[in-house]
Amino acid sequence: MTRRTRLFLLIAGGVLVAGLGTGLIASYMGLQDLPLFGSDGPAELAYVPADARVVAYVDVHQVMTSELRQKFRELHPDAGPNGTLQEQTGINLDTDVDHVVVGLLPGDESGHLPLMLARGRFNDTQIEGLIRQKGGRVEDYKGKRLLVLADGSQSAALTFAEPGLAIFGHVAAVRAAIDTRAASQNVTGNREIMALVRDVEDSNAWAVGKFDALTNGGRLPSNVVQQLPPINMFAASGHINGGVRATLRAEARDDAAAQSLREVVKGFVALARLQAGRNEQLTTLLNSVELAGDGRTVALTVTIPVGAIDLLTPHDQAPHRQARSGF
Amino acid sequence: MRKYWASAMRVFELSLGEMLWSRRTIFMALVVGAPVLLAVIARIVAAGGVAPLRINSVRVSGLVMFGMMMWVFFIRFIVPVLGVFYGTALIADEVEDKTITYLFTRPVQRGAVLLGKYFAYLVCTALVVLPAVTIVFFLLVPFGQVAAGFVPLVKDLGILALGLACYGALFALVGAVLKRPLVVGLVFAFGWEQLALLMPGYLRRFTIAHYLQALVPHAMPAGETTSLLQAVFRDVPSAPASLFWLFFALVAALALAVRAVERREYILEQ
Repeated sequence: MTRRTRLFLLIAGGVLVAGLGTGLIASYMGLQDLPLFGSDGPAELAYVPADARVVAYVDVHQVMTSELRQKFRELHPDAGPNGTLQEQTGINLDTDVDHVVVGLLPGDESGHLPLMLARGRFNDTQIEGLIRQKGGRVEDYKGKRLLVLADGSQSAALTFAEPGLAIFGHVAAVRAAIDTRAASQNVTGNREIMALVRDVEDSNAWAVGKFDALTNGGRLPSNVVQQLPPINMFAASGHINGGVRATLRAEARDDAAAQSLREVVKGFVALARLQAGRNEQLTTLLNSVELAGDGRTVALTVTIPVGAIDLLTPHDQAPHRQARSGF
Repeated sequence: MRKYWASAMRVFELSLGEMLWSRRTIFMALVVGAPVLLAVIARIVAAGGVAPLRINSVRVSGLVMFGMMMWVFFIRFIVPVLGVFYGTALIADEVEDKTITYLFTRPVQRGAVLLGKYFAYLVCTALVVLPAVTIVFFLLVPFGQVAAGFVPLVKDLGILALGLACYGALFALVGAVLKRPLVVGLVFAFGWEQLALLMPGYLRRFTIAHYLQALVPHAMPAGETTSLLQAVFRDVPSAPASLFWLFFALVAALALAVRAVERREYILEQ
């Protein structure tokens, strides 16, 4: 056997063994759980407790500087999030906030506890002054200054846990976040949630979690919830730049439930197509809908290129389109 | 017996290098490279955020696309075509090149020559086709779904290896017995087998594809007329029955080929 024959056998055999070895490791250990194949998401997850029901992320900087945002600014030159917010807190959303992580923590019967972690550049003194003006008080919790705003049974708190990191939410949630950081047992240890995070973290806006966190507390209309087959987890992700590409993925309880869900979604899309008729905007949106998934997974993707944004905007709000087309 | 196998292994070593670096390998590389290239394109398209394949507006997942490629490229085309081209050539090439005299005048039994060449064919084709299938799998299937697709992948690799072995043995017999084996092989693989699978009745039982396709863990792609007809008349044999008949065909064809080579007198045309 010549040297090049031996080399060929070695390479071909190596590819086969490497492929089968990777597959074997994946099926016994779960490939996405290997640190090599996935990151632990944004660093702020270190503050989110392991039992969080929903985790969401928005890269505010990318969204605010996106082509899509510029397009909306052209269409609505007067509208902007910065007016009152910037005046009162000194926060300019276009420049001061990098990204935001949101968590929904298990609460009592009244619902889940919201928690928001914002990374950026904040004027601590101005924000503290504003909270004091609104009747807030300062508390110390494990060495962190908690600015607490109590309004009847509802109470919210804000703390600057690190330079450039603001944590805001229900008092209990903010305290839980501080405890979680100290204990180092956070949501990155939650395999179910992290498997979903690793699937969506390439997007600049995403949310993952237990589906019942959306249905409990009336976040979804009850007649919609009743029509849906049993769903365990969900993952929603969107990539916003020139256009929007959004994906909603649901993990049903079993294959049959997933099949039912696919049928339900197909039915809704078909119904919407019938309703759309000659409505150019809706037809454009529906044409970009893709249904995918196998086994227990159902995924719905909508892609809206930047050129289609004009079409999706009501005619009276797009004067420049009429001018450009000569009408 | 030990001397017989030692001779077969010596022929195997000699033939493997010859087979790998022959002009036929360029053909094999082109045939096997096509699905790999398509998988690379699909991967690039998918990375750009566009669905590489959609059926009735429904995005086809990577695992389903891999299953379709297994059917369309590997099971229905690549395995039979490699079996025909390599299997028929095992003895026929030596006859055509008038080099069979040199082989048969060596102190090696004629049957061992055929066996050695057959094993060389098996290793040569399997080590091109199976890694290509593995590469296509990892290109099409996202990392998150690798675990779900691993068992079907292992089954696919086993089925392809068995298919190459069966077709190779059958066409080695054709090459050892007939004068124009390539034409007969092509007619069998792409004429008889395709026709028999579409016809109602028991004729399909006299094909290798009938048993091989029964083992494939992916759904047969629907839509084309042939697939539709095949699905209508399809009676799928059980996995043990399919394995039994495939191994029976393999052993019987190989034994008959060895017997034919040992008994036949090859007359070289001047």
